Amino acid sequence: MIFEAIQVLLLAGIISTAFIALKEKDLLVSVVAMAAMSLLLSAEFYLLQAPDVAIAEAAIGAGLTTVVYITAIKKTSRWEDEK
Amino acid sequence: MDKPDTGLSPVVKTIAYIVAVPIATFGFYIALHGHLTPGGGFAGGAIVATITALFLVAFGRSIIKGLHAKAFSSLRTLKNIGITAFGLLVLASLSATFLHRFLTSSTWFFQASIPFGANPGELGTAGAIPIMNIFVGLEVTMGLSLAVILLLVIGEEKECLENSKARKGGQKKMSTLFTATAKGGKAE
Repeated sequence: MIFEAIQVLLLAGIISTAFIALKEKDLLVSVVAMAAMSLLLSAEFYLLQAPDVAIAEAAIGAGLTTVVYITAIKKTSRWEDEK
Repeated sequence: MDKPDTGLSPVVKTIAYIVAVPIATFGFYIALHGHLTPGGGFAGGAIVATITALFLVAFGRSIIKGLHAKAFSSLRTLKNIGITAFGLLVLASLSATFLHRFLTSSTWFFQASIPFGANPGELGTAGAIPIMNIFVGLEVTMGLSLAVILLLVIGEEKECLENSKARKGGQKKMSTLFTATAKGGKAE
């Protein structure tokens, strides 16, 4: 019972953070939301008995991808509507 | 931005120094215990390469300015050493070669016998697989670090790489090239 409850919470968190990452106009907030989504996704992988995938997801999704996107934002513009 | 990019606040820099050690330890652990626990060379290397990304975010471009132009080629050389050693180990582990006997039947390195019954896992077992994990970890660490560094450098300081390639390991600091390009080109 507690297992299903945790999974429902994790999936709700994944969906809401993904929605924030899609809809936010501030791209920095969007990137941070995507890192949070990656972290929740790695927790979900761990709950589903896939710790190997969870480690790779946490290292690459929450670590390296965030830095790559932040660097891209630094080189372009922070806001979505800006030219 | 006209002023040079010196990174984030001193708090972030200090925390980056402190946090780098446990990150490196965890990455080495993941890579070295790849035959016992979840993870392996790729995951461990990606975790260690996160340190490079952390330092780049915390310190900005100022950390690259202190680098020699040779640092890039040495990163690339280490990456090539890792992937070449991995390929050679794969070839050496084939049962038709001489090295197969050396890797499997000697008591040199990671060749302890597996204890009987239920055990938490002995580190020194599994033969060539931990050695492969070490080299894959080296290759992934250097490759991802090089990718992140180049992502930050490229576009503004493309001339640096070309110059360093033309000079063949010159000792000139990259900072002079950086300032030259920053003054000449558009700073934004």
